[in-house]
Amino acid sequence: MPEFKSRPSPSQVLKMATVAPSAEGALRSPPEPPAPLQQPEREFTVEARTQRQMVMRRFVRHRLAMAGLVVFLLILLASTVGARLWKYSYNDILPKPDPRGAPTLDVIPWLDGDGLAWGEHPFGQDNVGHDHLARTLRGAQKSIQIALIVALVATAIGTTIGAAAGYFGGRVDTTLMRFTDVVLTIPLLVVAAALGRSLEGGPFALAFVLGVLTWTSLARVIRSDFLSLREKEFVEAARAVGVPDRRIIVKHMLPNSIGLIIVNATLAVATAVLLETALSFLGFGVRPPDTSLGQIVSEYQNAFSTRPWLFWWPGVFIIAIALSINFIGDGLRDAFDPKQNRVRA
Amino acid sequence: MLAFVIRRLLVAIPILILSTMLAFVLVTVSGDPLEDLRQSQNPNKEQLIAARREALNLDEPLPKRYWDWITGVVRGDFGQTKQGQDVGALLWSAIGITLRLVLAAVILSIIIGVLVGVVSALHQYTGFDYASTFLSFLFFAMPVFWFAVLLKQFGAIEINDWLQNPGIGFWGYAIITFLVGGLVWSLVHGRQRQITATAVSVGVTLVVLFLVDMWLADRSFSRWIATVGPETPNFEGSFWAQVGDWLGHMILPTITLAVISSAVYSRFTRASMLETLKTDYVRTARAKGLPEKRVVARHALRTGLIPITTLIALDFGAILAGAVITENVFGWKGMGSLFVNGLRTVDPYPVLGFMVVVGFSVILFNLLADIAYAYLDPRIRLA
Repeated sequence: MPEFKSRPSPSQVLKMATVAPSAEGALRSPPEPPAPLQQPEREFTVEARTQRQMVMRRFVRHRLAMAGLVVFLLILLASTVGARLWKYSYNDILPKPDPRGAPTLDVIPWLDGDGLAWGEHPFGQDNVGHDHLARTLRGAQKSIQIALIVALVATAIGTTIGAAAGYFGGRVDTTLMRFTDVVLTIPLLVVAAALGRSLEGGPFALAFVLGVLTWTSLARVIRSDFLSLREKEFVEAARAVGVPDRRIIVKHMLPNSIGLIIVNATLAVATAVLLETALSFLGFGVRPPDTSLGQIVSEYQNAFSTRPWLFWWPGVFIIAIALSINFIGDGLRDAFDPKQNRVRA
Repeated sequence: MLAFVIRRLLVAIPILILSTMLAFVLVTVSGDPLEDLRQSQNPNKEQLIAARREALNLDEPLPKRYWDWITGVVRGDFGQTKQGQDVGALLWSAIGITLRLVLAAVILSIIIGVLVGVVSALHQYTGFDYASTFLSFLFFAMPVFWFAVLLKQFGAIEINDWLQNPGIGFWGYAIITFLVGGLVWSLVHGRQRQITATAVSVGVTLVVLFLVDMWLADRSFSRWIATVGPETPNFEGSFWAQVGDWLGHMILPTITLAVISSAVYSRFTRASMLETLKTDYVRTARAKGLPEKRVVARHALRTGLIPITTLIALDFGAILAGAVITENVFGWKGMGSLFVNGLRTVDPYPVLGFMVVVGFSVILFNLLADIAYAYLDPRIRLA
């Protein structure tokens, strides 16, 4: 913890100063003047920081999380703005300058002496003539869109159900938790596939369905957090002055578990990317006129021996997205909970 | 204990009933099972439709159909497919195939995951720890299907080519020696011992590799690793040839499933072991002067591995879901393909049969997790 070492708090300084003279070592060597006490004005110039500022500072200092954030923002930018700026659209059928449609991207200058170059089709083309860069970017855009919606819906439902179960307890808790068990018993892939098949409404309907199914773990986490929060004095105080239940939950308790919610929502995005791509791979998610990263991998899985680039790029994008989001979530977890030991699961 | 098990099973019954009800509704709304017949050009189309309506019980109202089906399931009758096959029989053979895959993957991932987790907890912040952390994050973010296709296209073909004309080659020597040396270097403490141990292990590795290379020279093996199905159809041979054939078919799907689970297990094992190593009783054991080996093996490991049992049991559902994709890529006719094909052709009873089996096994494994937890940790009492 860099903050702790560089800047001890006033109370710690005081403790050190009062304890030091009685220590054995201090008696033998000439007692050093307790430096911090001699310049008190320096101690009190420490600027006060709000909770949010502290979290922000810790997050910004988390190197891996910042790297993840940069990578994710780059992918987001490329898949939204970049896909629009790129000269081809994902559905254009183009003439093939190279009959195999090999990628023209050149990042290793010393191999063929061309230097850094984009070329006509940086990621190559498939057998029909689609530009693979445009396709991959479009796929990434859809996958990220779906994942964000899934995380949003799942977080909203999970927080509501977890909060209600944890706060009210008793029969409400039992009913809600048994309901959660029911949703958990049905394998997620199964329900999503069954519903995805009947919903022809496109990616947004799919995203909504996935969100409705993936809230269970968050509900359990929030519930256990609320169970302990409920016993805290400030909740008791609020209840004693007659604050209505809903206001206690929203204004008094939820802000206390906001860290948990944000971290879990972030990690849910990564899970949702993997889930959506898996479903699309099986043919139950995003379907051919539209495209997503999983759909691209599924479409080209047999082209591996002839056109491996069709297969590499979407996979690399999925890994990059999931990995960077996981790093961001990890950094957020550390930032929100400095007391937690830094052992990561 | 018995009372606890019984109570848990009683709680499980309404959950199973509710989830099968939900599943039944879902599958019913997911499509029309008569669609393929409606579009057919067959002259006796009407008769076929009527026959299937009769066979699949489609004319009844939904609650009645559910009741008929669920009472059938309780008696062991899972209904029939659109082609009139008995779903129960199909399920049985599918379960056998999927279990073969899943059990091997679970065992492999437990061994690898726990081993890696414990070693990286004992050697925290070493090169090994960082490398395993990085790899498990990578596998965590890796889509199963992508990895499976990669293994199938890349691993199988390359390795089979290699098996036909095996040899280690310069890069083989260099990479294997480097890996072994790096592993030993990162796990041994103390500069002097580090240098000696690494030198010795690099030497031994080189000698072993040289011997293996000598043995491999002028030899050729058959293309052993298979990418389609659980066994070669109509394969005849001795018992060992049969086992070899099985293993050759199992190796890639098992690796696919095991790699991702073992990444999860190794993370949890590491976290749990680090926590345990910080506890007071471990410090006491060290203070008594017990050798470190004994402290770890007898004191820390036992407690540290308790959470893993729960995790493994809870992870079972995820592995089954992963098996759906793995079976799809490797062309196994197990539970996953039964389910996926059922969904594709809007065939309700195979899909429902899959859901019953999976739901039941998830509940069963949750129960096993609780019992194992109480058995391993005397602080927990089931009442």
